[in-house]
Amino acid sequence: MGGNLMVGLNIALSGLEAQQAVISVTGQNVANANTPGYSEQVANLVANPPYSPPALHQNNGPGQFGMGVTVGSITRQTSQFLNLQAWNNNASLSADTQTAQTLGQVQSLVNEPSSTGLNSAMDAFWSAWANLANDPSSGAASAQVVSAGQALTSQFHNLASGLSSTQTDLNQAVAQQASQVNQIAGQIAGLNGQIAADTAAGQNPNDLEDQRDQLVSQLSNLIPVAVTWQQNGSVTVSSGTVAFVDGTHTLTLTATPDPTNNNFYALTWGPGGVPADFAGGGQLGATLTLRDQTIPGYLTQLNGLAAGIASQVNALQTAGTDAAGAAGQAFFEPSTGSATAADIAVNPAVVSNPSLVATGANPSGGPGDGTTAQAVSDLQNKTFLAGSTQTPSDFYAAFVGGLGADAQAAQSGQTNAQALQQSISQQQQQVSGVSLDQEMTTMVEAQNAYGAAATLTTTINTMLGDLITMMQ
Amino acid sequence: MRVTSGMTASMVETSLQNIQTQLAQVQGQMASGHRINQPSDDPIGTENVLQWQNAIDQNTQYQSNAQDAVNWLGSTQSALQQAVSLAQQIRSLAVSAGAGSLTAAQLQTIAQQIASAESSLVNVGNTKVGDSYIFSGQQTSTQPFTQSGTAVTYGGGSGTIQREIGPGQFVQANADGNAALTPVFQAISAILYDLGPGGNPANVATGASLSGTNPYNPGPQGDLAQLDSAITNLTDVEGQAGAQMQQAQNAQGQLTTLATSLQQLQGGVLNDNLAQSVVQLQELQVNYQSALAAASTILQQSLASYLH
Repeated sequence: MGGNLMVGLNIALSGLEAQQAVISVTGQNVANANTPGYSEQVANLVANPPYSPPALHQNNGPGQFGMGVTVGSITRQTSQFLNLQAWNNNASLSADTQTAQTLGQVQSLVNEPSSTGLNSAMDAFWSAWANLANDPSSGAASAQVVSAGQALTSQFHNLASGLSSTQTDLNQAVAQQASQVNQIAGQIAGLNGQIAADTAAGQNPNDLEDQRDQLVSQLSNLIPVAVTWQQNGSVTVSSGTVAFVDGTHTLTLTATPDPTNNNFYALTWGPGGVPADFAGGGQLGATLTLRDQTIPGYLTQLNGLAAGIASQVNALQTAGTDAAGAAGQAFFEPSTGSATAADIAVNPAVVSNPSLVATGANPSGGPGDGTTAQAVSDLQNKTFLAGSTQTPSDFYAAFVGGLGADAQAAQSGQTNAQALQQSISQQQQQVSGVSLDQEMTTMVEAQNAYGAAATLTTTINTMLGDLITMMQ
Repeated sequence: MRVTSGMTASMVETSLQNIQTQLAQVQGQMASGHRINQPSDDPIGTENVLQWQNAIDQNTQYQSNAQDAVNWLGSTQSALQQAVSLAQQIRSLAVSAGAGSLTAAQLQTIAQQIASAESSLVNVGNTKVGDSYIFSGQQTSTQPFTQSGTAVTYGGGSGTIQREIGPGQFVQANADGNAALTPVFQAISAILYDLGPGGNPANVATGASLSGTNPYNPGPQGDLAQLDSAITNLTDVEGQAGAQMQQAQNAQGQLTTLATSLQQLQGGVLNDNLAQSVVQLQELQVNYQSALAAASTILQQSLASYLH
């Protein structure tokens, strides 16, 4: 039975079919060589069960005959371990990238070290007071003090409004990124459904799984995610304790304006659901941290500087006397409450009449008395900030240095995460990437095997022909 | 290790981008001339640069204050020198008047000469720098000395004019006009009184026995002796102004030295080392070109090129 020519033809046919399958999988690999997220596929060839199967009453013979080849399965080459590492790293890479980018903008806004930043404006302000102290009765020197004061307040306003508009932009980004999360989560849930159905039908939905991995990767850029695989082939994606993609079911990340936080968006899983907390991870987590902590921190420092300068200058001014011997008045507004970087301004009465600037210490001092103006100029060396430990210049330098350190930390975090991503991605490519050289080799092998099977068919055909001719 | 086409491509891309990032940074440093272009380039360095900038700006202000003090004290010194020389001129006139054996006409001539020198001395006492009277204390816009007849009265203020030449460090930029010149004017008035109609020329030299009769000389010393002690006092004030001048000039010298060292400190952190940057730039260019050459060779090839 085993030596049957018809069986030989069938074996040759199985070879032809199997090699065709190999060629078509190779074709698929070559076509997708540059497709992002595509994993190389392999046609796993297995020998057919041999004839005859073992039985109790077996004919004597040479033993079992092989019955040709079949494609057992087509599987994708992937490592879920590497994928998990990549997704974890994506969250920190995106967070640092977002932070570095935003702080880069803030650094450009602050524009230090330069001769046009707030530091120079402060120095010019103190200097104008010193000049006024040297020549207290000079109208030009008082006017100079007022204009240096206005230059200083306008620097404060620029910084405050720049930081506030950065915050507003970040808030817009929060809503936008939340909707991206929802969109991707929906796509993953859809793929979960298809994959579960295909798996139940005994298929290997390789390409759908690749697409799903790719979507999870995109999602992990936005927020830190944890992924678990289910028996039916679907995945559960969670953020913290919230499984927001579970099979085909999703929870929507909902953005609602929060009246306790400048009406900025607060995020919950589902309307009125669990508050979303990404602990600063992913692009969205970094955006939230920047909006709610980093930028407000900078604003607080600037407000402290503005308020400190305003209250110190005003205290000296109201205790002094102007050139005409009249009691001095507040130099900076607002006169009630403490000034902020956004609302500090030179008293309009002083702007319209710079001779109201107090220069002397008491009414009998005379026009040559520059004691008060000198005292204001000397504020630059007085430690009245940060709990009476820092001069205005120290305080501002520490603010700029702190900003620089934050930006530098984000930049180096980004560089490190990039290096790690590069290394993980190389390993992923090593496992899943399409090697054209390998595909070409497989192609040549399959081509040769196909040719050989074809030759086998021809040979058996000739043998059968001979047999038929003999019988005629 | 299994190397796939995607790996080669992404490695090439990464290394080219790394080199380009570094190139951009070096080019930015060279273009601005600054090693620190953003606080994140060196946060601690930025802090120092800002604090040094504050110190440099203050130093500039102190230098300008010191210069202002030097100007005031220069005018003060030269005015006081003129005052001393006028006072000595008056003294020698008074000595010749007190020598005796002079006719009434001769004495009157001398009195006129003394009165005219006194007027010059009043002008000296009303010297201004810019719009400010320098011998009027803090009442810089009030004329300090007013003459009526032979008497001169001080109408200026008190208090000192100071200039800050270091943190909390001040130099006095004026001299007390009242203390310096009022005794001189009083002595001159006493001389003129004794040379005048109700006075006694003999009292110019002695005057001890007639103490109390001259409203400008409380006695017991003579008018000349009173002038002598006023001149000594004036010379003392002049010497003191000289000492203040010295202090201001010393401060100027120190401030200039300090400015140079502050600028060097700041420059050391802030400025780009050009030679180093040029070398770095060249190295990076060589790296970039080799990376490009390697990439163009590797990326073109696969087994497919050789199958026919």
